[in-house]
Amino acid sequence: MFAYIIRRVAQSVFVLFSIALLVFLAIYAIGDPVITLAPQDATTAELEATARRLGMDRPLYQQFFIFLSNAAQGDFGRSFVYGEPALNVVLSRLPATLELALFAAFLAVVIGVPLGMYAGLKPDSAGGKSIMLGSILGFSLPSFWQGLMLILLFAVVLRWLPAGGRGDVGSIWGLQSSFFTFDGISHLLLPALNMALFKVALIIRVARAATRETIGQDFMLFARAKGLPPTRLVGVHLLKNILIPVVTVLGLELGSLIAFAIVTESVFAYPGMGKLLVDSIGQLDRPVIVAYLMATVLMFVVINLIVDLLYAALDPRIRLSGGEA
Amino acid sequence: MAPPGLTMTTPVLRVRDLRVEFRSNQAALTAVNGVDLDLDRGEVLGLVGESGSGKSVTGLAMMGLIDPPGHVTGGSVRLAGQELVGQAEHELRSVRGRRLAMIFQDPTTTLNPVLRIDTQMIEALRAHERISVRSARRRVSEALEKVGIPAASERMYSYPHQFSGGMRQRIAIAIALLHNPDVLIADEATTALDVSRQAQVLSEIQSLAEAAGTAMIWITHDLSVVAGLADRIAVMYAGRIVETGRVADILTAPAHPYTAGLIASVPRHDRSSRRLAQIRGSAPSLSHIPPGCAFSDRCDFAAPACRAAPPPTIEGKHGRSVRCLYPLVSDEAHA
Repeated sequence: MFAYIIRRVAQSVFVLFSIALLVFLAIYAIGDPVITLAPQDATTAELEATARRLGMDRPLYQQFFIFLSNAAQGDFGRSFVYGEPALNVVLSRLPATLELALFAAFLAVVIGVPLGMYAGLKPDSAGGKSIMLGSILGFSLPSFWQGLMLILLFAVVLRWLPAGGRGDVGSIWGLQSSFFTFDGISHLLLPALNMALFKVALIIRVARAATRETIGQDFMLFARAKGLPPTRLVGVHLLKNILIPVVTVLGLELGSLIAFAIVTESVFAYPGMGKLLVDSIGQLDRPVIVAYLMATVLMFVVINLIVDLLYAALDPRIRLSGGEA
Repeated sequence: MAPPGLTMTTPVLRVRDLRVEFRSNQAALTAVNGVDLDLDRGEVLGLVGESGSGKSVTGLAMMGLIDPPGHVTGGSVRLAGQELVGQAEHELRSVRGRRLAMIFQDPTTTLNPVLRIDTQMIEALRAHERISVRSARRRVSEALEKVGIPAASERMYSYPHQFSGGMRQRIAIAIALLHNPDVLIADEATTALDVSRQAQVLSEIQSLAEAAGTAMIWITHDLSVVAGLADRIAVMYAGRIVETGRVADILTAPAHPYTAGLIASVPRHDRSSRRLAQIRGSAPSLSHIPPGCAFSDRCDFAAPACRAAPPPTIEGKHGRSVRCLYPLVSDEAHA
């Protein structure tokens, strides 16, 4: 298990390094920051002085390592718009997006797994068929339209939930989160549901396929031959087996939930990282964009690492393949 | 429990006219077609047949584990007098694993890969007994020791993949025998093991079952396995029992041409130089069972009468019976 963790961490570091290289090259290709930053009427000598001050006169690989060492210390430069370190600007929006993504993932599992299991256990029943039909709908509806419809229904017509923004932030044991206030959760519910619906459809399909595959296995027959009650067959023998693919898919999707919160955050005017990115692109706030990219990549990598470790915890066969237990 | 006088005469398991059909949109295929079986307490019955003869389906039908599109369409399965066919699911569940247990062919797939051995055994105990986890754990460790798992009290916390195939089959056997069931149905339980393990596991199951007073139905395609194990043999062909009798009677003097063919096709050391005999043709598919005797197409002795109507069952001595118009040995009693 230990060797397995070490190997996975090393892989993650390599991925981070590669992405940093890509982001650096992409930014380098976009244009010369010297011209952007120097006064418009600067002379050639002044431009050269600026380039020297910024380190732009050094060879590319040296610049890359300066970028890398600064990035490793969390320094991506100052935001042109906010005048603060770019990473701080991005990270100040992170809790809001993280809350949204986690809540959406939670909703996706809580709704998707039971529905998928039901559809897998009773594929020919009316319920099973309508679940699968509904999942096609969940896949096909565009996120922005779905969001608008949710606002229309629950905020405008029924007036049950607020239409947008972030609610009050409560604090428990020094931890600040809108999970801790009723107002916070009521603001989270609609955007999280909007993000979750697509994932629900996905998880229904994964859970259904895994269920269909698992119930045909010999060990399920043997478990029935032991005289186990259906609650135990479904709740333990089946559930533990289908959780492996569900966790895998969910882990991959959690990264994309954070990265693609952009649409939902824009529709619900939710002050998260996605909305920040859209705003920063509009204002050509380059340090913030770079900081956002690197922060998102780091999150992706960490989540995938956690998923792999979780996967190993769920499936004892993987745990062993990395070394002797 | 029946009074002692009755146990000698009442079989622990009595199957009568058991029928299993698999229905699709087009047709109903009869996989088990009127099977009769009797099993005495502590007896070992070898249920022998080719793949597709319906022997595994018969085993599952007795357990009440036939899933759609399959259905038990008729007949009776009585376990110590209690009818199982048509019983409510919760009634069957209290019988399964407690009084009627089953083990399967492939030991690498019968245990849930994501649950520890102790979990899978304790749940089997607690499905039928009110017992604390602690004493259940002790019972599990004892049961594993009995089937020859070394250091059972520690190894029980391992996962299935940490055991070899032979060990896993022993664990499955330990699970099946946890409640000292009346009957154990073993479906090709040693077929997937290599030959040296096979003999070892076989003799261990035999002595364990004997010690527990458990009767066994040993389902196999391998006559040589049942030869050393079973008290009686039932030969199955195309969903029907074509011949039953004591092992020695059947192996030395088969009455049904199919049984004779099966015996002739077992390799033997004393005729190794000769070509192996084989039964010509292949077993009929369920959708094309010949009218009359199902074996008539492949039988060297078939007469026109064989193809006209299914042959009646002819009863002989010592529980011998054969479904053939022209049995190879004319048992003195079958007049």
